[in-house]
Amino acid sequence: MSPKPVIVAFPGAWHPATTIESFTQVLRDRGYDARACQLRSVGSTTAGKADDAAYIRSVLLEIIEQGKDVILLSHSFAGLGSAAAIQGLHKKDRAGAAGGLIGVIYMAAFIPSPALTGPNNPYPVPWWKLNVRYGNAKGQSQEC
Amino acid sequence: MTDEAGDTLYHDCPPDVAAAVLKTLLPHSLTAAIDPIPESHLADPSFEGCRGYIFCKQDRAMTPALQRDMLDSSGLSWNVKEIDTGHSPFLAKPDALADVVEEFVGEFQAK
Repeated sequence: MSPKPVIVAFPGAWHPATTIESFTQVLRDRGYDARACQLRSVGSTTAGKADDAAYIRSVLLEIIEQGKDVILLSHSFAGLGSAAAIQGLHKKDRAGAAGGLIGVIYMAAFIPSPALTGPNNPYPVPWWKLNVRYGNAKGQSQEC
Repeated sequence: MTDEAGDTLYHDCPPDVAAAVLKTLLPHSLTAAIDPIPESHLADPSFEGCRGYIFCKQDRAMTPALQRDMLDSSGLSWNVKEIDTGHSPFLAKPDALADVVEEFVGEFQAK
């Protein structure tokens, strides 16, 4: 039986790592090494999606370079950076080296598609636009 | 705004949990909200059979219609498992969510 993979959990917009920590504890209680993370864009005024992608990638790489298998669990907005972060990290892409990504789990997450990509970047979720205008989910204005 | 966020994100969570989490939310980068989406590698052949989707049936933020639209528009095959929660299953039904994650673990390891 294979050892359990590491589970890396990224919640979405506005959500610090603490919001998913109780869930990663449930996974730890089941014997998993589970990590609660947060996107770079959370609590930032300058980070972009590429920063999110780079950070997610760095978290995965650190685990993979220890020879471990890992699954990325991406929630909501985290799906957008995750799709780029995973490039070449699957076990099958690792030329026999130990460790690697064995799958991704998108949890009610945005999936990049031609409809979403491009400079105009239409956000199809009306409440998202409302929150963007107000700065955060609690309606506090945000300097940018 | 606060009521709307709580209702949108945590309507099915225990009220004390929702209230506590709501207090911890942080502003989100407007840059990230509107800048281009980096190139996706979900379509890379290695991920065939390794793309799981947890479909939240009572989601008020990422509605079922929107989740379905995203899945269909992606042009990719996904292994979709449903959970009967709103947008935050990790707060509403963490044990049920862990069950779903463990199902995916078994399926990914079998590849």
